[in-house]
Amino acid sequence: MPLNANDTGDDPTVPRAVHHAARGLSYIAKASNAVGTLVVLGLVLTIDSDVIARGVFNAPFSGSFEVVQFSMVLIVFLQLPDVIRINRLTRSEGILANLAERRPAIARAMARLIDAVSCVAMATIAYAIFPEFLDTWESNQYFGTPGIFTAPVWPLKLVITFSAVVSALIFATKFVAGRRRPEHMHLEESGA
Amino acid sequence: MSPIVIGLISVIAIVAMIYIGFYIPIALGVVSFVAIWLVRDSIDLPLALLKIAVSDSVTEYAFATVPLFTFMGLVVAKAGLGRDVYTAMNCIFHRIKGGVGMATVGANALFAAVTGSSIASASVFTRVAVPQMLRLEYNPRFAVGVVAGSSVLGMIIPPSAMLIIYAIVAEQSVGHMFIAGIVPGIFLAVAYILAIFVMARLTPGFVGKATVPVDVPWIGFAALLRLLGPIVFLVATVLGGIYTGWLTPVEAGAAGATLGLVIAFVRREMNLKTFWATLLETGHITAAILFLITAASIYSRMLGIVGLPNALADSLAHWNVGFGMLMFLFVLLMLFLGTLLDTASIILIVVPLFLPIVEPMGVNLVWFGIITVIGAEIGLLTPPLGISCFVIKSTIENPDISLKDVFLGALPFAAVMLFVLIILIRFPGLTTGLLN
Repeated sequence: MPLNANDTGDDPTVPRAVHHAARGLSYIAKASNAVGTLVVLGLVLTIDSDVIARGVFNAPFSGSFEVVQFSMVLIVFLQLPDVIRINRLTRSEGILANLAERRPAIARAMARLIDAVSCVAMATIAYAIFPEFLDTWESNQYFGTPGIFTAPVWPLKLVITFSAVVSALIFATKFVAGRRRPEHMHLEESGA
Repeated sequence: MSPIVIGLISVIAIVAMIYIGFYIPIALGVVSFVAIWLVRDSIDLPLALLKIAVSDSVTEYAFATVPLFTFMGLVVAKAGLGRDVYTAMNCIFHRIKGGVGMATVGANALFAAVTGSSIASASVFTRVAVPQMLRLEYNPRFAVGVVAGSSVLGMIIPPSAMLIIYAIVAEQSVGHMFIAGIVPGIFLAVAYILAIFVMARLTPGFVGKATVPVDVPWIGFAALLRLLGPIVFLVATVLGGIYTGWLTPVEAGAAGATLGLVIAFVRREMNLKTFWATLLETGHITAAILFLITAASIYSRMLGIVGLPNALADSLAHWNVGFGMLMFLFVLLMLFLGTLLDTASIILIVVPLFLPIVEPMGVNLVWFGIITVIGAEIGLLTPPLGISCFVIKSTIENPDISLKDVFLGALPFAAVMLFVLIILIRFPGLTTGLLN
């Protein structure tokens, strides 16, 4: 797996600014990914302690349901930019890889087109969610059951907006930089 | 253009875009967004739906099964349990002609009960089983075919990522899907073993010389127990916990992941560095799968808005298509899509389309899910995009075995799958029996 798949390398046709932007985005994606990874660990521990509390001490941990829901949003959206950075967003690359061997210029143009469309899609998500963040921030909206467990909603909307913006920018650098050849297939990501 | 036509074009556009290499969630999301926009002639509705899909669909409690079972599967694969199970199965089956093939199927079936991924199974067993079969003069084509065919068990025998994806899309209980997958999974494994038994006798040209090894000593029951003990304990905890209702699927996933970790650390197969890498990998897979499901929820809303499932139901009624014929067409469609798309995409595309049709017919949706998952999985074995076959090709470092060999070797197993699928459609009790 290429460690810095989003790095534009030393391709002279790519402006230095794009190269720096790609570097910076890589760091952000990796840091956000590390936080998301800690949330995965937290999720396992939360549910384990709930099972033990219920099974051994007959005293279930009442907020675990909400904590799980909250963590799922964090895991998905904190890690999404890194998934995109290392080219593991689900796709089937059979045709593209094939084309890259015979008509590399066409394959590269197609890969760029796909990244451009993806950039617009992620930007649209950011545009749709950002007002939600402002709303929930101002209205101090909570979720959960009052008296048992509540958490503010705005951090979730903030994380989703952040994730969509970073993802859109990563797609943008991929589009601008292009790729010299579509990378090898990453099969695990399809979940298959 | 009528909404129905827009819907139809959208489905075809999604399949085409995924085929030429678009990211699957992007294809699903973008096409659905544009379709709703065209039908309503306003961007407000698609934006509102996008907002709901992205912020609400991930907060489903059952989604937590995805990271937990993914983590468990990765941990167990790293802990070397696959190797142990294979050794034990080999000890049981080695005296029979074609026995190493049978051992591979048996080991895959048991390994599948602790991991939800065909990819993990395919790569583990390519490394341990293929070299041994080649040494015993099995036909290379058969050797890789067995591994490809049996790797599919990983996705059918619970826990399985595909069963979870179906459960989420069709709003069924993950626990019910898991319980329902047990008998069909075992049935498929037994059918594979019988097929190998028959092929070893009737088509020696395909199986190869298949020497019975003389160097496998009987290791005794104590050793067998030591090899199989950890995995049986894990399976009993996870599936037993869900079946008895003592654990929810989410809790079973957490318990299984934790026990797997303990086993891996005790056996010194894992250190802090590989532990972190496993967690990272879990997060990546989770984000990819759940983002895909988020996009699929926009797609199924789009289908509802354009009214495609209803139109499809009407025309099926118009042409007097009975239930048997409908299932036939459904399986045919999945076999066709299997040559273009991966399993998850097929499930996400066909389920929202067919669920509104079969639901009023009083069909058991858990049974329908098992049929869908197995039907979509046949595509793992068929060219040009059989993912299991690609994994095997990239795992064996043997230039003499081509991708074509893997596909040809897997073909008889794809046929067995289709046979099992037909039996499961004909006798729904096999799937729903354990649920009652």
